[in-house]
Amino acid sequence: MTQPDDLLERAEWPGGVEPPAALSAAIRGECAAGLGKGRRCLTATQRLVRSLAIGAVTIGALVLVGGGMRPGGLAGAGLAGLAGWMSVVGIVLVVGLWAPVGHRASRWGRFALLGVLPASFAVYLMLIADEWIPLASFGAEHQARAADCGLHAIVISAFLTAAMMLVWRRTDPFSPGLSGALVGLAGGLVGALAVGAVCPTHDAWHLLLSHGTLVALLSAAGWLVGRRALAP
Amino acid sequence: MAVGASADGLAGGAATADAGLGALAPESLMVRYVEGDPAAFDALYACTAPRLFGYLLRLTRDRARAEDLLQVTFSKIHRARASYLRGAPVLPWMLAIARRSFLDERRAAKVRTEHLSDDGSLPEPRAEPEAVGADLSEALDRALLDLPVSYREAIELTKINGLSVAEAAEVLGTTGTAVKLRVFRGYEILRKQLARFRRFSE
Repeated sequence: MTQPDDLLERAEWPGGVEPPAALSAAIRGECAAGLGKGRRCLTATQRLVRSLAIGAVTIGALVLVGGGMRPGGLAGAGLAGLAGWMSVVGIVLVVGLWAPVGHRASRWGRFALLGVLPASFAVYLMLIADEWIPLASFGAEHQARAADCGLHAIVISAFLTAAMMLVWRRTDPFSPGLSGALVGLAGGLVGALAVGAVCPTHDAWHLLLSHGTLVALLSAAGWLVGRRALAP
Repeated sequence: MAVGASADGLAGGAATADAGLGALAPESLMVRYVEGDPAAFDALYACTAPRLFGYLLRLTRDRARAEDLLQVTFSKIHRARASYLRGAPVLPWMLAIARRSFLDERRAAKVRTEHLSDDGSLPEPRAEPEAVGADLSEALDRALLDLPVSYREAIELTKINGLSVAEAAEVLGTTGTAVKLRVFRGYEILRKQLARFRRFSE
């Protein structure tokens, strides 16, 4: 980019500017207040582990409290799916929040996760469904069960998202909305998996409406909440 | 008063702070500050405040606003200190907080104000700066202030504050390619301005 006799190279670039002494004294006074009680400063890895632990404990607690695993159990494909999606949640948190500034995935990459993962999860739910009731036959009984299951999933996902937001609170002045959406995506996925682990219904529409849509919903909510909660 | 023009060695401005702490990296100072060490805050302030103030000054082009924003920025840093991710680069974190404070303030001031002259009329457009006799660095300073904000910010973060392209992209909420493009276009404009200055001064 340098050109012959480049004046930009010859000029001295401006640097920092010393703030007025009175202002510095005021800021020092404000920031030194209350420093006596020191706080702990967590690393990104510690926050990541806490987030994943919250998810794992919630799933475990739900399986215990919810009267055991879904019919057919979590063995085999179910357990593999659960482990696989928990790994995806880990990747979402690593890519979205754990990586230090300057080493994160590009914004487009993180946006892509928000589009690709809810769609992939919906496809996964379609694949594990073992019943397909035509929408026209999706009667009142099915709807009530779907609403009940969906309500549980929303409450649990919202709790998980809030807990993860708390873990990452005020850590991201760069793109808090996008990071919040990724936290919502992670919370939505774990919530859907947790409720799915104990859900007795295997119908495709039920899984899609009560478990799948939730992931996109929580991502959008995470975007809105994260803009305030994750920004310092 | 301009201090520490070099993009390396943030600790260069920490002369007033504790000599031992001044040698520490800002990341270590930040951790000690979070743990409750006031001397670490002094050292951290000494090495980062001039950069933040210079950044805000060039962003706002208004000394009083820059001073207010510096105070707001440090208040936010103080409140959010426990959420600093141990080991993460401090300067991009602080610059991003400063930039968000600037954007929040601009959004809050919904109506753009203009200073009226005594007779109530709008002020005259700014006169062309006197080029002859001024030195090259002053000309660069003025040319920087006249750059479009997006170009100026990209150059400010990469060239003046020494952030990497990826870090600057995070602070600005854009892509690395966009930052490179803004820097390139900003340089082109600056070169033209400086060439004009040289023609005047010869």
